[in-house]
Parts: sequence; structure tokens; C-alpha cells
Amino acid sequence: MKCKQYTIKVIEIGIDDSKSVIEFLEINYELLKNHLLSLKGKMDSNLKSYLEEKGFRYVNNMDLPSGRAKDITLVAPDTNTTVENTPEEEEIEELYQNMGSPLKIIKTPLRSGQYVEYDGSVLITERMNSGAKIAALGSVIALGTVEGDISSVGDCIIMPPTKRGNILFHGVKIDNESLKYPINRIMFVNDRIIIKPLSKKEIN
Amino acid sequence: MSKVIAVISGKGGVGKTTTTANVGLGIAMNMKQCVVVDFDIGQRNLDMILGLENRVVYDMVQVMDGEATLEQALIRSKANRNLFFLPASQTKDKSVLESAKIEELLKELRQKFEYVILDAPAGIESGFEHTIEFADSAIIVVNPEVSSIRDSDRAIGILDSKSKRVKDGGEVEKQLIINRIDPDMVEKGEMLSSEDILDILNIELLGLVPEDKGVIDASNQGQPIILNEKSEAGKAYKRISKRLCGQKVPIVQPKAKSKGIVGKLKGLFS
Ligand SMILES: Nc1ncnc2c1ncn2[C@@H]1O[C@H](COP(=O)(O)OP(=O)(O)OP(=O)(O)O)[C@@H](O)[C@H]1O
Ligand SMILES: [Mg+2]
Repeated sequence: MKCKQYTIKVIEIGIDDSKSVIEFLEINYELLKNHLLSLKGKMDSNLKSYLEEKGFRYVNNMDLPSGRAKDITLVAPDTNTTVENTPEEEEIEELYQNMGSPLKIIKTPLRSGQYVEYDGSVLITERMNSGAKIAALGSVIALGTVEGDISSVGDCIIMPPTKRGNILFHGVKIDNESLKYPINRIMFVNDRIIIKPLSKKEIN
Repeated sequence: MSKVIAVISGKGGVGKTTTTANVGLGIAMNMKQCVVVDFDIGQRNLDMILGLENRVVYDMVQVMDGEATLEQALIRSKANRNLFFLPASQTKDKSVLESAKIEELLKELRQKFEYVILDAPAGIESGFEHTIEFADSAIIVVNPEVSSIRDSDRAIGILDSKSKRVKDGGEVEKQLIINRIDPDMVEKGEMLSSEDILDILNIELLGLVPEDKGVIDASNQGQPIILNEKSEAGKAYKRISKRLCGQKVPIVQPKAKSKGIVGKLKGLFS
């Protein structure tokens, strides 16, 4: 048996009225033609024939496995294309809000040259670009792509794999190769730094 | 309602001045009153690209200091009656700009024009900060290369913290132009894709402009490329200008020219 795994880009669109969906797809055709469209809501024949004519690949009201999602802005900002946070992200946020320790939540991308220093834990929901830096006395949780520097002297760092990020946990440089899980948790066990996958079960 | 748009990039030489000239002309071609202002003190390039260098008498700093009136300093474009140009000062002293005076000048320009477009200098120093300080929105110009993207990321960060609008609790609209896209390299997968760039910068896309040898010629002759009906870069700037004027125009991905002998021969003559 031959078996292959690959990643595709999915864009989820809520159908309010089919006319504005068509307009949105038309304007952004070049950017979206290689995505799988996941259309949520009632689809009429106009929309159907438009999609077929353009060769879009789509599913309607299908439950897809959840993945990392983000809001996007393409050319037509007035169209309804918000993607909801995945359950994991919401749960992580909730978990840390319940902990009671001081937590700073960053909900915008952190850009090159921007530096966040904080006495407690830091949660960033957007991407961290190359040249950006977070230094926290508490834990750091990064939900978006990490290409900047993270330094934590707290309980743990929770983050996705990174190619270009520079990660320091209690002053120890973490080898990027060892961040191999979809979401990694870097922490101490008996004075040794270990890296474990963060599973959904654990959050509950 | 008039709008002040700063054209910025962080890294130098990526196409800010080219963009300012073409977009300014494009907006004027859409029947809107538009002024382009050269904020690159001491460098002065925009006058050449617009073919107006021999018409410069007074400059922006003289207007701000009351040595000349705005009417005396504004130069009307030969290519389009709706487009005006306000030259930069040639002084080497870059500290001539003062916030209060810039605000006053822009106030006056807002009363006369629907679109006020500011060509920022390279870098993120004081000249850059003065350009963004009173802007309502920004066009960020990048080339599809890592260093350009990183520098513009930094420029956006400064824009989002230092502009007056943000300090007043508002937001500065940000739109991206990816300039000098080489379609051959895109096809071979050798270039950063537009999607990747949008992913990193996380702002709205305004347009994609291909690499086009005609751009340099056009600049040398003082005839911005948008006036060339055949040029792909010119067409891209036309679409961008329409978008800035509120029309919904599809994004067009630059395509490689057809290969084959005939195509190559044609390429030699175009
Ligand atoms: N799409 C294009 N195709 C080919 N050449 C281009 C293109 N856009 C710009 N150029 C060329 O690149 C050079 C730099 O462009 P330009 O002066 O507009 O950049 P700039 O960002 O204003 O530079 P500076 O930071 O020095 O002010 C010029 O020679 C210009 O002709
Ligand atoms: Mg310039």
C-alpha cells in the first residue's frame, strides 16, 4: 500500500448571499484558485455553476478536521470570511486565564524590531516575525508561526516547530530540530529540560 | 474627504518613488485631484521620474518657512492636468522638517486635493517618521526578497506605534504592493510567493507589479510607465490606481511571456 500525507490550504467562507461570495472569489481568484474552499451555509445554483465554471475545488457544509486557522484579509474586506479560532487555541487561552498569574495577551502580529518584556506569562495568538522578541519571567505560549526570539524563565514554553526562531528556556538555547511536534511544550522535569507534545487531553 | 497616503518600504531602492509617480498619475487619470509630495529631502528623484526637474523653482521647505506660497511651489504635470507635484528641498540638512510645519502644510494640501501622496525616503529614521506622522494610510512597497520584507515589517511596526492616528487611538490603513516580481522565477518556484509574503506581513494586498525593463527607460525619459499601454507594469499600476479610487479590480498574477522562438524574437523588440 502506498500512502502519502500532504498539507493543503483551506479557506472557509460563510455564505451570507451568493452574490457577494462570487464577487469575493472573482476578485481574489489568483490567490485562491489553489485552495480548497470550505463553504458554510446554503448554496444556490448560481454559486454552484460559478464554482464549476471557474474550476474551484470546494466542499459544502462538511466537517473538516480542525487545523491552525487565522483571519485573513484579501481584497474585498467587506465579505464575511472570518475563520474561527480552533478549539485548541480557545482552550489554551481559557486555561491560562484561569491560572491567575499575570498574563499578557498579544493579539496582533509582532513585527521586526518590536520587543515585549513582561514580568508574567505571555500569550501571543498571531505570528512573530524575524527580528521580533519576547522576554518573559513567566511562561510563553505562541500560537502562530515563530520566526523571532523567545526567552522564558517560567514554567514552560508552548509553541509550534520553528525554523528561524531563537528559543531560550532559562538561558538554555533550544535546538530547533528538537521541536518536532505540532505543538511543543518545553519544560523542566527533575532539573532537566525536556520537550513534550502538547495534546488536547492534557489541556482538559 | 481627502486622504494622505505615505509610500514607504524600509529598505531603499525597492520602488517607492516609481510607485508614487505612477500611482499619482493613475489617480489623476481617474479624474481625481492629486498631489505627489517628495519627502526624500536632499535626494530628489520624483521630479525626474515625472519629467518635471526643469520646472522646479520653490520647494516644500520654502513653503513651510513662508518663503514661498503653496501656489508658487506646486508644479502641474504635463501628462495630466489633475496631477500636481511638490518638490523636496535639496538641502543636505535633513533636520529641516518639523512636525508642526508638516501638519500645517498637509492641512493646506488636504483642502486642495482629494489624494495627497507622500514619497518617503529610504530607511526608518526621522525623515521616514515625518512622512508617516500625519498619514491616513500607507502603501508598503516590497520586493519579493527576505531583506526587503523584514525591513518593511519593521517600518510597519513603527507606523503602528508612531503615527498620529494611532496615538489618537485610531488605525492607519496599510496596503501592500509587491514590486519587481519576476514571473519566470515564480514559475520555477525560485521566488517567494505572494501568499508567503502576505502571510508574513499580515496586511491587505493592493497589487502585484512585475519586473519590467521599460520602467527604467520610462523613468529616464520622465514618462512614467503607466502611460505605456503595452507595459505589464504599466497595466498593473493602472489597476492599483483604480483600486485606490475605490473600484474593485481583480488581482492579476504576473505571467511569464510565452516562450518559443517567435516569443523570444518578439521579446527582443518589445
Ligand atoms: N517593476 C520594476 N521593474 C524594473 N525596474 C524597476 C521596477 N520598479 C522600480 N524599478 C527600478 O528600481 C530602481 C529603484 O526604484 P525607485 O527609485 O522607485 O526606488 P525607491 O524605493 O524610491 O528608492 P530610494 O529608497 O532610494 O528612494 C529604479 O532604477 C527603478 O527604475
Ligand atoms: Mg525614492
